[in-house]
Amino acid sequence: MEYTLNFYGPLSELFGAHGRIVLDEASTVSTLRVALEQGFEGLSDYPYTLAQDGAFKSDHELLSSGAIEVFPPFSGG
Amino acid sequence: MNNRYNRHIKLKPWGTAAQEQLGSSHAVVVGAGGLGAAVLPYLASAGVNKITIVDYDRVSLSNLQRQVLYTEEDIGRLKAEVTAEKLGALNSEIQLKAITQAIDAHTAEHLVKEADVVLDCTDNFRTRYVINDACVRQDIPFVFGALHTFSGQMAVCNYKGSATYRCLFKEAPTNVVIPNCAEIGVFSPLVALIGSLMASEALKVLAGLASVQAAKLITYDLLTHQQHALSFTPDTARIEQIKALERIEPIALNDCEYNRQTLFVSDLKELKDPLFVDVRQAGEHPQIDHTEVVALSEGLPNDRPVVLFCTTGKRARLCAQKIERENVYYLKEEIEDFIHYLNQMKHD
Repeated sequence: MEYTLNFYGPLSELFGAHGRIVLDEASTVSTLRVALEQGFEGLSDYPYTLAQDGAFKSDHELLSSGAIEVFPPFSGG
Repeated sequence: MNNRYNRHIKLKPWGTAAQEQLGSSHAVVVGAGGLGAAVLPYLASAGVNKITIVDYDRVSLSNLQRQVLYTEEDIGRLKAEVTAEKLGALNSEIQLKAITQAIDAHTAEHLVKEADVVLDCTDNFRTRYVINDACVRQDIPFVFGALHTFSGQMAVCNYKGSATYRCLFKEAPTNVVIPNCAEIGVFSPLVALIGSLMASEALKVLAGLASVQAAKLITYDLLTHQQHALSFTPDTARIEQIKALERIEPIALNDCEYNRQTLFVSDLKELKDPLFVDVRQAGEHPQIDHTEVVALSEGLPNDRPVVLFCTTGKRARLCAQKIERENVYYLKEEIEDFIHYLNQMKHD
């Protein structure tokens, strides 16, 4: 299962605007998080949420292969 | 009703009824910086009956790049008070209240009480989570905006049972990880864009329009014009947990807050013979060459006030907290504002 990652804000400055991760099987948000934090050093220091197909997904939801949006919160005002 | 609001009243989904509803509404705007200065004139000019402006900060030179409500003459003045004056000149028919104290877990619930909408225009997570929780507990719609260099986020939360900010980002991150505008800069038109989106949603909430875009994270990047509208769902267990708390839990973060050691540039002239201590690491820019500026490694005198400074005020604050002594302060404002002050002193 291949996921294309789109990073935003400070995450894009760390990892570039795009990334890619391949897993053996379809992943839930929780399991993808574990894989992402192993594959992208420093990601676990950041809060972030994952979205696909126009909606943020909760931890137990299954993600289909394709694009995943990785959004951290922004601070400035 | 006079014709001041005629162009809104003529709008098909608006009309007299929406305008009258707006004219009896109350908005609380927390933060009168970049986003606040963009949001507030639209709320006032549209005829929101009562606007409470909350900000303890003062206008500084580096604000003027994007906070277009202010002018050079306002430097050193309290933003909430200046804003109330300017909005009063814009619309004398509305009520304006300036609150110049920091908002915290103890004061938040009282502050948002009786508001019909609360807008978060702050630059720190501590306040955002506290306001969110206060709004959740009192069922008040909460519109937040946030910026990162050329990109912005905004959303309407807690609107008629919709998801809250904590449903999107569960816990407050530390500001050490997510930098604010003072640290990484911000593209000035972005505050106008995100501020306009916030004002737009807040006005729709207050006027009772059906098209409020609740629980959607709207993002916009001004470098690429890439946009998103991503929905998020309520975490009902978390919402119930917040409502069941006896009081709001304070958020413990290492961000730059106001305390008895905090000084603004405008306070410096009140100090007698201060020594300015640079707590930045050696070699950090901009370098400051001034007889009254020393490095932390040179030690602190006991017989005169000491003002610690760094690039943004965060490191200076942490350092000041560790030095538990009278007459030790830290400068909250950015280093460019301090340099401007030093240059002015040279000329005086």
